[in-house]
Amino acid sequence: MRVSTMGQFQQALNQMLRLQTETARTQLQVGSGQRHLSAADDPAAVAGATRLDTTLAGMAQFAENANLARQRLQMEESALNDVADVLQRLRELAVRGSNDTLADDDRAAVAAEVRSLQDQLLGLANSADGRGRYLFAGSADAAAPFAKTPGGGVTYFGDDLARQVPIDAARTVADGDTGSNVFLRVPAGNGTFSVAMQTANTGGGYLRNAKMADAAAYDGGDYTIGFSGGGYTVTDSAGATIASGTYTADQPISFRGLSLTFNGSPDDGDAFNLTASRSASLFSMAGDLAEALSTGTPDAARRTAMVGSLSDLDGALNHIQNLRTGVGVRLQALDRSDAAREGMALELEASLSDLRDVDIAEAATRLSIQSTALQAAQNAFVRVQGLSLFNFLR
Amino acid sequence: MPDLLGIGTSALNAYKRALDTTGHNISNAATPGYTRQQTGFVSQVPAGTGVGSGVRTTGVERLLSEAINQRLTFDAATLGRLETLETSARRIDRLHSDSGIGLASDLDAFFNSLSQLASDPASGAVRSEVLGYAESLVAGFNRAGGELARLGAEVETGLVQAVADVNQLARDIADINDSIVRARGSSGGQPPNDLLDQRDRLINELAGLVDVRTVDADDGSRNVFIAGGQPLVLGTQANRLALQADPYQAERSRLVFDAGGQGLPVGDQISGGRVAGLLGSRTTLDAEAGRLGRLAAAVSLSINAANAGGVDAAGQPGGNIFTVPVVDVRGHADNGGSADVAVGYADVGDLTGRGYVLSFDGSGWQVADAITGAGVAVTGTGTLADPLLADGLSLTISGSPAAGDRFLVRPTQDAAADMGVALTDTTGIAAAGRLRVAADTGNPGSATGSISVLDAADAALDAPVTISFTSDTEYTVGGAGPFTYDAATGITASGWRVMFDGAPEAGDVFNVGPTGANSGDNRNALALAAVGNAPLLAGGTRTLSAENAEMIGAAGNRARQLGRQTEAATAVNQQNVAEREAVSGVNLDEEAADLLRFQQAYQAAARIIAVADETFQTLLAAVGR
Repeated sequence: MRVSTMGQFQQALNQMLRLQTETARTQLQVGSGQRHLSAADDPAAVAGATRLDTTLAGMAQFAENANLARQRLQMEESALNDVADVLQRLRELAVRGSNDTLADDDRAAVAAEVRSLQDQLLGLANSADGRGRYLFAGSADAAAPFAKTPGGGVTYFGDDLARQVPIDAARTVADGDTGSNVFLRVPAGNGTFSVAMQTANTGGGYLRNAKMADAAAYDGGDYTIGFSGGGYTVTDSAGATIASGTYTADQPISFRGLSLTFNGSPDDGDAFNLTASRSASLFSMAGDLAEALSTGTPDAARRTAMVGSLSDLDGALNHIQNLRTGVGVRLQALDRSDAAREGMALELEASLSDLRDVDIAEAATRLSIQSTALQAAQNAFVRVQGLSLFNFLR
Repeated sequence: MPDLLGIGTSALNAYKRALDTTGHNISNAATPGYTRQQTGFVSQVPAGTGVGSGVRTTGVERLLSEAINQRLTFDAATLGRLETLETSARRIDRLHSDSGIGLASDLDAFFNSLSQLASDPASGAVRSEVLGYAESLVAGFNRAGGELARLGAEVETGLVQAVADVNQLARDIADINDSIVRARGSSGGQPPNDLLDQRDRLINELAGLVDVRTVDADDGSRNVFIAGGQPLVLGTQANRLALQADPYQAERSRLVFDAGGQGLPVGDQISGGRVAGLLGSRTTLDAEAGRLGRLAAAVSLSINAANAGGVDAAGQPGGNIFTVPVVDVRGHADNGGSADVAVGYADVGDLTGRGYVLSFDGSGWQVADAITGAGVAVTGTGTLADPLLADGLSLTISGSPAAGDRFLVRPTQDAAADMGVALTDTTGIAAAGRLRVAADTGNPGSATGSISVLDAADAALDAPVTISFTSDTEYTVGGAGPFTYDAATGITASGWRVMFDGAPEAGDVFNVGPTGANSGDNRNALALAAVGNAPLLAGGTRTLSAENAEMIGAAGNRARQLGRQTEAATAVNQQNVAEREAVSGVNLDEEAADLLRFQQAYQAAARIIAVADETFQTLLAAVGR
């Protein structure tokens, strides 16, 4: 085929331009470390890398969320530990207060300590989270959730909303428990029922001990145990007699799977109320204990109340323990999600690197091949260009 | 003795002519579009028998293949179109790969800040972060939308320039036609080679702008037709293309063939050259802006809706975080009726990002795709109570339309460029749920409730209400009742529903009321963050960030495909150029050889005259003695 001089130039030039474009591309790849300079180079890889970026950024955020939740849960855990310590101390005081040999003065001292522990509980219930919000207030955490009322009770200003924090695309973890759950809705008595002495009692009969012998037999109803003429009668809430017999101190009275032991000598007409367990607040438990230990409470009432307080406090300790377990489970869940996330992030980053990063060794080799080719093309151009018949026409 | 002198002279003249032609070839070796010329020789035939009387030139001819030239013209149109399309596709690709990936990180950052808000809803710092990321997200959309608008403006400028170039070339071709016709008349058959070269070059150049078809006339002029038969050049007469205002949008132009003051729209008929590329780019840019706008509108509408579901730090129902996107509706310039069309978004998931033409046929309304003209399913009548619903839009018509009235509806065309942040104060972010239910602290039971809003429009929604359980199975709400409690369905009243965790007992009291100010509740922050993971787009199949990734990939694909097509077309063109050069190009070595050849022949012819002279002198000397 004929070759025109301009065509020859143009062809060599095209060749060199193409090689230069390729070299410049490789140079940019090496310089930026990126395999793709724009999505056009590999649309699927770039779109895939963008999706991975989104996932990774989301995971980083979940890690931050988990950290914040962990801080709060750890704060709650330590507050719950303190609450358990207070309850433990209250229980010790209840045991000491149950001792009949205690002088009234000593009992008053115990009562005073109980009251100060009640205040301590209130302080713990109003724990702040270190960020200007309160731990046990539900969503109304801008202000202290608990306050004393003039009557000696405690009012809750918080609510029942526990915050669910996202720690995974499909998973949330509560970053706390509400004050109502921790301090207010505590199962009173032994968790099933509680026994109280009627205030009108005049005799010295008191409750020594109350047990659940057969949980399946208890129907959850309220009962009254009345004493009269050396005997006892158990009536249900409708007034029907369930059981009756002769009263003997320290001999258990059994009905509906329950087993109650009384001591002392009740007067005729004295009675005790057995009620299914209701929820009570930790503050009222401490308050009741202090009240029972205060000077002026009749012995029988105090003794009955002590039995109740002890089982209240056992139940409360159990309740706090359950909450602590719950917090621990959530902390573990956070750790597990951290571990899973980190493993996942490593894999995703490896995939991302495969999609996006240039293989430097390969690119450098390519660059040297391309520049060699370019040099060769330039050399060839100069040589061929020098060949002209006109050079020989003299 | 035959006229040796005459023979020598004929050879001298012929080789002088040949040398001239070779010189002309050498001097035009680098002239674009130049076709190698060759002097033809023929021996002079004697009158009878015997020796001929020398040589004669038959003229100077161009060495070319008309077939290759036609292929080159065709190539030019293909290449012109593809190169223009590729340029804008690459620009869009870069836009996505630079700011698009920036947009991806803006989207991620915004939704992650909402996730953080869910973990720390009361923090002012986190709220500021959310607002800050909302602003950078908006800036990202504005930047991308603005860049697309700028590319669109460049296309408009490019069209103006291309049309001016087409008209100039048409005039030049008509002028050269004129010169060729005259030259042919005056030179007695010798073709005006260099004028023909110039015309070929101009037609090639024109083909780079708009695909052409040429027909040669008997007088040597060449007629040029464009756009499926419109005569751009007829002999020595040139017509023109022109740009007129689009009947829907005065700021945009449409291409017309200007035939005697009558504008004939020809945009659809032009399929090659830069003009076709520019028109194609305009369509691509529109589609791209619509799709980007759909993403922007989806973010704005969904986040605003989610924010409205909760209460802000002041305890008020959340307002708009982003400005509400506006649908672009334009009436046709020829509309005779007084109808007005208001368009709103009915369903984000059904939005397509495309443009539509809404037309009235005298009795009913039709909606069709603005580009393809394909009909779109519509329900409703267009009244306020029963709006037209089509592809996620609700269209309400007021006033009275005339038959044939048309409206161009572009739902999300400007949504990205016009996106804005409506929120000014970080307290306006509604992180908290609207209502809450609290168990009374004196409750004998330990059940807790959770509340959900069923009807945000209920007038009594925010009114505090007490639920009291009169027994384990019956309750009153706000004093009304008692009703029977069913744990499976919970309790429903004035726009909300309460479900209980645990069994409520007789005497339990639950207070339902607004969440209140400065709450640490994060229920609505979770709802806001969930927008980022919800499959909102493409009929509920694609999340916002997936759509963005999809757009990046699609733009990349388009750029890559066009890049490959252009590469292929360039290779074909180079091949054709090489073939043309093989036939018509000047090879300097060849010309050098010709130069030597003709020089030697010329010298020899001069020798012939010298010999004739010597012969004559010899004769004279012999006779003169």
